[in-house]
Formats: sequence, structure tokens, C-alpha cells
Amino acid sequence: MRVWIGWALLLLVLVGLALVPMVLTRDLVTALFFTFIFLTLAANYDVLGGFLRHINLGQGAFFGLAAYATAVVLTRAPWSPKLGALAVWVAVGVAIPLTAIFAALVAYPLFQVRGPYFAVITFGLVLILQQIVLNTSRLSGGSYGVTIPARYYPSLPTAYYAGLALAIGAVLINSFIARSRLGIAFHALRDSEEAAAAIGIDPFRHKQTAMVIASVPSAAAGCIFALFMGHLYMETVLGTDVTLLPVIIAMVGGSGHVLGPVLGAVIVRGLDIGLVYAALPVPNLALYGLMLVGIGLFLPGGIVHVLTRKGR
Amino acid sequence: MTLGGVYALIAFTLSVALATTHVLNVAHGTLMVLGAALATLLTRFMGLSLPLSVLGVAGCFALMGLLFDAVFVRPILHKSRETILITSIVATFGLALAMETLLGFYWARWVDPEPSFSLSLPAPHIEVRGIVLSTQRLLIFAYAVVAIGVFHLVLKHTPVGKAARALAQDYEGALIVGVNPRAVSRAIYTLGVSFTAISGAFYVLTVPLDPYQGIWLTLVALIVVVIGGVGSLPGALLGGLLLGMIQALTVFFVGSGWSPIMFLLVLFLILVFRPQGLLGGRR
Amino acid sequence: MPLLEVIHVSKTFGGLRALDGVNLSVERGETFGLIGPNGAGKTTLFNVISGFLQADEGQVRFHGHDLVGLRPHQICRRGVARTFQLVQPFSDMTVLDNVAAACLFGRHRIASIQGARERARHLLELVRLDAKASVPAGSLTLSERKRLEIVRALATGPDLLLLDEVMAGLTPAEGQEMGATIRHMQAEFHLTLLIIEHNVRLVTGLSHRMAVLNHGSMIAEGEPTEVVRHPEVIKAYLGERRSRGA
Ligand SMILES: Nc1ncnc2c1ncn2[C@@H]1O[C@H](COP(=O)(O)OP(=O)(O)O)[C@@H](O)[C@H]1O
Ligand SMILES: [Mg+2]
Repeated sequence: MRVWIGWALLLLVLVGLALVPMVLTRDLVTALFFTFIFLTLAANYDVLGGFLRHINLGQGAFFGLAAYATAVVLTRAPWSPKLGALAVWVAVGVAIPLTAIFAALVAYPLFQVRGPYFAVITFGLVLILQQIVLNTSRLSGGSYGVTIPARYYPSLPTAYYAGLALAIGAVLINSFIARSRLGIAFHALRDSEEAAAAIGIDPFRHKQTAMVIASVPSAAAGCIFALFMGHLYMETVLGTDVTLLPVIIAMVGGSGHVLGPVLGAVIVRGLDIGLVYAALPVPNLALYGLMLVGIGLFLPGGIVHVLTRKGR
Repeated sequence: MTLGGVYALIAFTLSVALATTHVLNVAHGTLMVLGAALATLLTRFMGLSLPLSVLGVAGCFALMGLLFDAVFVRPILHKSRETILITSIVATFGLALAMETLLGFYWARWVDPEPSFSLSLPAPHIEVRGIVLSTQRLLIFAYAVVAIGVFHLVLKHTPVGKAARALAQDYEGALIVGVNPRAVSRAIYTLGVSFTAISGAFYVLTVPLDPYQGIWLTLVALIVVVIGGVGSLPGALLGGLLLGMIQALTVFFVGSGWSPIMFLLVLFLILVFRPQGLLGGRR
Repeated sequence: MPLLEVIHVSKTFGGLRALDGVNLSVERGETFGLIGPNGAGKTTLFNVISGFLQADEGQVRFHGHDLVGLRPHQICRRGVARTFQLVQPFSDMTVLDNVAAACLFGRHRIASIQGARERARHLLELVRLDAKASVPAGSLTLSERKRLEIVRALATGPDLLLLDEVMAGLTPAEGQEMGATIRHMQAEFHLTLLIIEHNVRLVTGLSHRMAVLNHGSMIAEGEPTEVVRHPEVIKAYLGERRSRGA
């Protein structure tokens, strides 16, 4: 009985979301589009953060790298002007594999460390990309940013549906992992890496796999975001919000639970949109910061754990 | 090169706190930036002399350390190691973000629209037998050496220091023999935070800081710890000096913007080829 | 050819020589007991065999192939399984999934989760944990954890099973029962066992051959009853008892 109610509710929400571009204002549709982007990043964050409990503060690196790759291919590659509309697909086709390869490669140094070192060094990944962008202005536009020609921009509904599809995809990936062999391996590694290795689980290979899985939807999100925004500033696609908000969303909702990021996205983005309207005299980042302090100290399991009464 | 001493110092205080309490203070570097900001405020805008403002910073941040311990460390100290770690990363990351944003925002509004913290000395150079030496550099280096020395002596010879080392070596064992982790953490954070803030004041004698560099400085401290080998004091010294040297060379040959990239590259290379760090034992 | 050969293995930690030119060979199908006072290097030897530590020198051969340089999961897949002296259950997972994970990723790599769980359920009966299949492993008692530790190692499908003090901390009755379980398992799965035990009496009853490690060196090897009467062994153990009393 309760299962049916759940499915019916889900269907209702999906139909509602599908109708949104036809009923809501442009501002709100855009706000929802951003929400999907951040939900995608948060769900991806949780592949490492939730299943393997490796706090990855560098999820934004995959997003930003793909966004820049898309923009750079579209503006600098000599073949792009000749391809017409196809150029977008070529750019995306470069950006996503590039990001996945990047994820596979950085796994080698990153997984040499654990715990606190892992968290902070992954954040370093974002900082390093920021510096690379700022220091290669011929390619990336440096601090002035880079503009994608207007002919490649998607319409708002196109961007909206692409974002929705990505977010759903990212959440489905997590729920699939939770039921698969991979999920069991991740869970074992999380509980005891030594014992996992002793029963034949390759720790590094599985963590690397997790990183690559987590990078692909984020990269796709970066591509859509870049095309939709048209102009990329380092601060918007590689800034602190991009890398932090996914973590906040996952933690508020409940890291390690498939629905955690979804709940978190609703709450955090709801607050965020509310804050824009409230126009407080304090910068938003400071409020995010205080929110993190609150979650860290008072709600380490997230909302999901309060709801399911499994808080630790 | 001189900055290497400061890097070693902030790495050392960070890793001592991490080893004894399992709390990773992501706001470590931000506290350093705040120290620099306060020193700048006291000297440049309120006209205090340099030694007096350093004293002021020390006092304020000793209090800040007490407060930090009471809010961010004490309430979670009884939890499992993993919970402490995750909780502290999230909470102190939030703290760092809130502090740096507020600092940047209000400094720009009330003090100076282009926030930048720096200090200067009345006599920037001294000459010894024909060799011109930069007073700033000497002073910074001397401070780093003295601070590390003091911290080291406290750890080696005071009861609270011995308790701290016991906790770092074998946490559960130390609890069983009656070490009080709360007293240790209070001492470590009071001392550590005030040393870190003073480091900020000395740092900006040569290189100015802006409000948003705190998390980067925490990262530098962690890079130093990992490069040198987790838990190794000589490793931290070596790592700090190495980064200081890399920074000097990159600034000279390529441009200051590239030194963060070089730091990370060196870190990644060391992680791949010598994961235990330069002076670390086996993992 | 012996199933396992340890040839002149040494390992130092800082200045401490934990293993000092250790030689050992275990024949297929036998139960080999390894005893020695605390800190003798027994667990270190297991860590070297199972790939958790690299030996400074020496060789470890299994089925005649060198294991040195392989990583723990690779060694597991060649057919060497181990338990941990300080048991390491996957605490948040169910007891069933602890064992199922070993079926999925061990030597036989059962493809389906369903199949792995079925096999795991069967194995749990062997150690009388079937009633606890669906509780989180973190909630088991010590004796249950020790049995889970063994059955999880068994579930990887090994030829050689390394047991590290699986009877330590148990009551005498539980210890006896554990001995019976181990004998049973060995017969049913044609296992070769290398058993570390602090309790000399229990292991003497189980082993075909025994060896004694002290300060990283083998000081005796042979028939169990002969080994325990060896003067060096008595000295090593008495020395320990005396220092404990003091
Ligand atoms: N990882 C390690 N690092 C440093 N010393 C170790 C390590 N593992 C074991 N030792 C030391 O090696 C010696 C042998 O330990 P161990 O093999 O655990 O002995 P046993 O299992 O026979 O009781 C002990 O003195 C122990 O302190
Ligand atoms: Mg042992």
C-alpha cells in the first residue's frame, strides 16, 4: 500500500516538473534548472562521500573542467565554425571523455591519502584549475572569461529538460550502485579497507571507478551550464559555491542515502532562492558557511536520518 | 624561501592539533589571515607599534583559540574518530567560509574598498659586512624558529605536552592511563591558534594577503604535512622549506600565479612515487 | 612441492627486527600450528604472507609461485585467505552480506548477488550464525565476530587459510567448540591451515605439525608434542610468564 503511494507521488512530481516550463515564469524555471545542476553535482558527490565516505571537496573541478572544455572547443577549435549546430555535440563529445580521463588520472595521487588529507587535497584540485584558468588567458579568457557564440545557446526549456534528465540520471545511478556488486564493494571498503582487500576487493580500482562514475554526469552538467550561460567566469563555474554547494546539499539531506541529495537540493535551493528575495545585508556565502557549521555540529547525519530515525 | 619557515610552522601546529584531537581545522589558514588583518588594523589604522600589535594579536587569538575549542572541539571530542573528522571538516569549512566572506565584505565596506593586509618595517634592510640583509626576512625566519622551538619544548617538557604526545601515539591507551583530552585540546588550540595568527602578521611583512586566501593556506599546511610525511616534525620542516623554495623559484622564473600549481604538482608527484612522504616511515 | 614456502623472510620496523630470516613450509592438507609469546612476530608473518606488508628480504611461494609484490586482494584471489587478530567485520553491513561480499569478490567471484547470498547462507550454518544473518555485523558478540571472521575468509574459496588467534578471548567451552568447527571446515573444504595461537593446549590438539617463533626467529619445529617439550620453548614461555608476574 505505502509503496503504491510512493510511486504515485513520484509520478505526480515528475509530471509536475515536466510541465514547469509551460507554466512558471522564466526566473523560476531558470532557478529550477540551477537546482537540477546542483542536484546532479550533489548526487555525484555522494558516490564518494556517501558510499565510500571519502569527502570530496573537488566535485566542482569536474563540472568546471567540462564547462571550460566546451567553451574552449567552441571558441578556439578551428573546425567549430564549419560544423554548424553539430559543433555543440563535438564539444560535448570532447569535454565529457576529457573529464572522465582527468578523473581517472587524478585518482592516482588523490587516493594515496585518506580522511582529512583527502578532503583538503581534493579542494586543492579546484584551486589548481582556477589558477590554470587565470594563467592561460589566451585559451580560457583568464579573469575576463570566455564567451560562447550565441548561435550555440540552447533555449531555456531545452536546458531545463536536459538538466532534469541529468539530475534524474544521477540519482538513478546512485540507486543502481546501492543495489549492485559495486555498492557492496564500496560499503565493504567504507567499513574496513583492510578486510575488504583481504576478501579480494581491489581498493584502488574501486575508488577510481567511483571517481570516474561521479565525474561523468557532473561533466555533462558543466557542458549544459556553459552553453546556457553563454559567458563563463572562473568564479561561476569553478568558484567556491560550485564546489561547496553540492557538499552542503548532500550533507543537509543526508549523505549515504539515495534520497539525501534530493531532499537537500529542495531545502538548500529553496532557502537560496528565498535568500535572493529576502536581500539580506550579509553575503550569501557567509550564510552557507554558518549553515555548514550548524549541520556539522548538530546534524551530522542529515535530514534523511532524522526522518528515518536512524541518526547516529 | 623565508616563507618556508612560516609554512613549516602552520603545518606543525595543524598536524599537532589533528593528531591529538582528530579535528581537522580547515579554518586554520583563515585564522592566519585574520591575524594578519588584525595586525594591519592595529598598526596601519590605529597607529600602534609593530611589537604592540603582535602582542594584541597574540592575546586576542589566544581567546579565539579558547572559544574555538569550546565550540568546535569539545562538543564532539567523545565521538568516534571518523565522526569527529567528518563533523570537523564540515563545520570548520563553514567557519572558514563565513569568516572570510564577512571579513572581505566588511573590510571593503568600512576600512578599505580593496582589502589587502600588509605590514611594513621602519628599517627594511640592514647591512652586515657589506651584505645587505632584509630585516623582514630575518625577523620572519627568527619567529618561525622560535615558535616551533617553543611549541616543541611545550610538547616535550610540560605535563600537558606529554599528555598530548601520549594521545597522538595511542589515543585509547592514553585515555586508559587517565589523560584528560579536554585539557590537552584546550591548551593545544589556545597556543596553536595564537601562534597561527601571529604567523599571519609576520607573513604579511613580505607578501600581502587578501581575505580569501585562508583555505589555500590551510591546504599549503596540509601539503607540507603530506610531503614531509604525516607525523614527522623534521618532515614538516623539510616540506615547509621545500615549498618556500619552490615558491621563490616559480615567482622568479614563471610568475607568482604559477606557484600554487607547482605546489600541487610537487604534491601529486610525491604522492605517486613516495606516498609515505619524504621523511615518513611506512604507512 | 609444499603448498606454502616461506624462505628466509625478514622484516624490520625502525630498529626492531620483527622477523629474522624465517623459514617455513606447509604441506597441502595439513594443519600447521604457529605459537610463540606476544610480540614474537606471528602476526607480522601473516601480514607478509597475505601482502599487507612487504618483506625486507626473502620469498613467499604458494603453489610454487612467488607472492612477493602482489597486493592483498590479488593474493586472496590466488587462494590465500586470512583472518585478523583484531576482528574487522564490515560493521554496518548485515552478517549475510559480510559473507556474500567474500563470495562475490574472492577466488570464485560468484557473478550474481543472489547466488552469493545463497552460498553465504549455507556457509553461515556451518558456524551457527544463520540465525543472525540479517543483523548488522557490528552488533555481534566477540565469539560471534570471531566466527564471522573465519567464515568470511572461508567464503573467498581459499586453498590455504591463515587463522590469527581465533580462539583468544573465548571461554574454554567456546574455544573447544571453535576447535571442532575448524576441524569440520578443514575436512569439508580440503583446506590447508596455518594457525597462530597463543593458547598452546588448544592448538596442539589441532595441529599435525607445529613451530615456535620467538623474537622473530624460529626456535623449534616438528611434532606438536615434541615441540612443546623443547627446552627453548619452555624457556621462552616461562620467561614470558615470569615477566608477566612481575
Ligand atoms: N606496523 C608495525 N609498526 C611497527 N611495529 C610493529 C608493527 N607491527 C608489529 N610491530 C612490532 O613487531 C613485533 C611483532 O609483532 P606481532 O607480529 O604483532 O607479534 P605477535 O603477533 O607474535 O604477538 C612487536 O614488537 C610489534 O610491536
Ligand atoms: Mg599477533
